[in-house]
Amino acid sequence: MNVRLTYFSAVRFLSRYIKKYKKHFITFYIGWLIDSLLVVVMPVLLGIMIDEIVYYQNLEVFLKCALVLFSCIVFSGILYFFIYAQHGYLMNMFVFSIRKDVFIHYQKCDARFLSSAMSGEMVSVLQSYCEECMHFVIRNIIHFSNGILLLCIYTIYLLLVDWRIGLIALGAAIVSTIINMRLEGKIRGLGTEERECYGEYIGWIYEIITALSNIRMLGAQKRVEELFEKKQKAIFGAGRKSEFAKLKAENAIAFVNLVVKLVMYVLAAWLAIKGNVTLGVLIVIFEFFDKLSYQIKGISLRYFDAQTRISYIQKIYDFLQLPVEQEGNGELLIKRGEIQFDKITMGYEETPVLLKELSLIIKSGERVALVGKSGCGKSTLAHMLIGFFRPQSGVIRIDGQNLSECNLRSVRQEIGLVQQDVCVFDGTIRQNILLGNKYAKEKELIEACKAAGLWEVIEALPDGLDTMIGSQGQGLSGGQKQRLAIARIYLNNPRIIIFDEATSSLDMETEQVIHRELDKVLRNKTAIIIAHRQSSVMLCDRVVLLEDGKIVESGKPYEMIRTSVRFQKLFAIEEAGI
Amino acid sequence: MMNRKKITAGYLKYVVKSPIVFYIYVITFLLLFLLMTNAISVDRRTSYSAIADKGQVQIVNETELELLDKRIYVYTEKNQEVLTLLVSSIEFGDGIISFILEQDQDILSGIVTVEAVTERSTLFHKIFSEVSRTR
Repeated sequence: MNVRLTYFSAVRFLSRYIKKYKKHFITFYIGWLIDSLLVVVMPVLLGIMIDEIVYYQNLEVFLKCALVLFSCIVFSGILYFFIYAQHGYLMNMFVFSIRKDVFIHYQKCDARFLSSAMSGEMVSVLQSYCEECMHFVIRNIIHFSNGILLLCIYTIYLLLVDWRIGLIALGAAIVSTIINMRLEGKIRGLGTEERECYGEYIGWIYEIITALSNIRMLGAQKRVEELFEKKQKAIFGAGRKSEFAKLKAENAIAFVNLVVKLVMYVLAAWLAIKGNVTLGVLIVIFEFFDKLSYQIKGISLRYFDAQTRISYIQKIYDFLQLPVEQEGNGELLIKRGEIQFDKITMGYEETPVLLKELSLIIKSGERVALVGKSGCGKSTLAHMLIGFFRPQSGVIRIDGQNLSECNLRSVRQEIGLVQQDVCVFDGTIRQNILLGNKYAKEKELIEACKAAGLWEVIEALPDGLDTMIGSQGQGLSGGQKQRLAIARIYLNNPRIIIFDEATSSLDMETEQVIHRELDKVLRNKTAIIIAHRQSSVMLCDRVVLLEDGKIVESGKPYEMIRTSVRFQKLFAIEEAGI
Repeated sequence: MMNRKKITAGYLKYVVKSPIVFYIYVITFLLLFLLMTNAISVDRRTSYSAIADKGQVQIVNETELELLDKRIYVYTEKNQEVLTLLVSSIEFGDGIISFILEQDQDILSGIVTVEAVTERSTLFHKIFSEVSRTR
């Protein structure tokens, strides 16, 4: 369980990012500090001016003080220009450095902790929560500490003017602090609840948006609308509770401030009647007390805001503590392409044991079909081969090398994966295929497209390889995407290739086209084909049937059709010989 | 267009990425502030309880006083009315200091408070050291 962040531990967590921009933060802080000190000096200057002109008709001193005051005001105005320049820079760069860390960590995260719900929440983490870190530093550290400093200065001044006025000011500050401390825990809890509710909603929205066409096909729009309303109400409810709690606290503090202000005004007026304070000092007292009330209110607001922001920072902190993919230091070098799964046991949180001491050897150059019911562990076995998961026990060896001792870059360089969903990035066809090997020459690129059966399609396009595809350009059909994926693999030229239900969503005719190309692509390579279609299985040298986490049957495809009842049931084969 | 690019590049270099201009600006202002506030002379007035009568104001139980300005300020309630009076001479007696006023000046009678300029300080000193002097 991760550490629950407090204010100071959140500051410590953010300090490594603050250190990167130390110079700018110091400049920003000095700017605000000087501005805060000027805010103290200017009323005192005004008080002196008023006393000199009202009581002593000293116009010369009045005008000279006015000049100094004017200079302070002009200086302060230009100072904001510098402060906001630093603020703008930090808002971009500081936030960027946190976002970059989060994004990089997300890319390296252990696959067991990733889910599509998390993907949705990641959008919030990357966009909103990272910005909240900057707001935390500016408002809850810098402005907060400036506020405390000013509070002390105003209170000391008021104490020096008259101890009774000073005590009233101090009393107001103490009562507000007590209110803050009492309500802190509740506000923080409600802030966390609101954040979790929002995060869950974002994850859900993300899933819905990607499945919009499915929702339409199922005629489930009404149901989704109802769910949308329900979730919006839940967010509204959580937000309202949090806001209400904050409002209660703010109103309590505002009430205390008001009462204290009234008492202070009465006392100051009494002192003025007694002749114990001059008009100038009276103005300074009122000005300082107003600012003191403002600072108390501001400090309270920032304290409550801090609780909400800490919950966002907690999310970032928790995320950065998630385990990353484990890898070794060695380099995987495949010469033959022989794969050995040696007593592999693997499971997830939901399914504690999926694969039970599974052992399998795939010879060099062999094409093996992995078949079985959905959820029997076929894809898990394949994903372990490319390092997405590590087995709980057992060893995976490739050409005798223990996979867990190799670095993931070399593993993924040597082993290719073609999945059902092919990722097409916004860019040209050329850029998309070169993802397989960015150093490939034009000739190699064209050869890969021909081997994948994609060249005819590309030639027919007006811009050829430079045709834009993805959300900003031309759409590709399922079959074309699969061929693009095969072209990538061809270009990458890995020794081992895995097809994970690559043609499941294609029609028979398109699938046959793909199968024809596969022969060229899979020449002299070791291949694992995971498929639910018999036509894909028939391409292989051997079929391995998984059931209850173990290999129950294995053999040549035509033999399995004739002799295996499980195989016949799985593919709904009514007669042998089909 | 080129001018705008130069201005943007200069802004980024001297204002955003390097705080040198900021520090020069702040230090210049602070020096100017110190200079101005130390150059401005402000009267420091001492108040005394006194008796005003017929062209003179007498302070009892005081033997020494150095008047830096001919003007004295006399009042019974400071927040009601303060009279500015010109002093022609000072006389020192047995524990009594008498301000002899110049002719034709309105004066109060009876027990009053008189403020006289006995020192001069700088505005800087007044802002930062004399905050508690309210009278």
